[in-house]
Amino acid sequence: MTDAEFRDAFHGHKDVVHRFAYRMTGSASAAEDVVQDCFLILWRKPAAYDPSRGGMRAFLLGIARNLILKRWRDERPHEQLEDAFIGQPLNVLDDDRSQAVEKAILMLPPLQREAVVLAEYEEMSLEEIARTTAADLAAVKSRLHRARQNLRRMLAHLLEPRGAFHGTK
Amino acid sequence: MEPNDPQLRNLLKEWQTPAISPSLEERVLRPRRHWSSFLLHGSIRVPLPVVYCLLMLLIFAGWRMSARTAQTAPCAANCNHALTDAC
Repeated sequence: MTDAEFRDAFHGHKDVVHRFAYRMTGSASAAEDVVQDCFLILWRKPAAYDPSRGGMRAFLLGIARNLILKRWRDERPHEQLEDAFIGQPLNVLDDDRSQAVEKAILMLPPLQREAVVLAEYEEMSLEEIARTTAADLAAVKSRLHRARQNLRRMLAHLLEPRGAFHGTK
Repeated sequence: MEPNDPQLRNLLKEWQTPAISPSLEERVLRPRRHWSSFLLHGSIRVPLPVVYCLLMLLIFAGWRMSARTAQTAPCAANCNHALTDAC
């Protein structure tokens, strides 16, 4: 990989990696560390990128994901990446909608969180998420489904009940 | 947020991420040095326990050397006496 190619990759993908890392860690400094480490790995091992297995975005997000999960395991060695988490309604003020969303997403177990972040914020397809997270399609569907259920429960106070129509309250 | 759940989708979109700090670009894109320049300009981090061990080894080696010198010094003196007597 030439210096110019590396710079192109950085300018083209730094934002997506940063957004993903920030939404996974909830910390600006941790997210920037992940971005830096991610591109350092690309620079050191460019041969690891195989275009036939997906685009550069999926490749970099895969590296970022591994770095984040490693960090998570180091910080919480006794917690499961995917546990039977059942979200409870959050107790936040109505005018803090953004904060409530942040809190709810950060409360999800990491594997549910990555599925919902990649699907919702990065608008990746189920197949792309499966490739990026090295999981099978059924697992991704299941994590996404549970993540959505949990988010609905946690953010219920900011959402209308399902089936309610506007103006019929 | 089932595929037909735009309400939750719209709510999730309200969470925006902060911008990347300009220093990150500098950190990632700064000129990368050749490995050989590391020999002259590089630095490594050494854990304190390793430093303590090295320090202990150094003190031990110093003590051994000084003990050996102390042992050989009287011998040398004796040898000198012996040579003088012989003369």
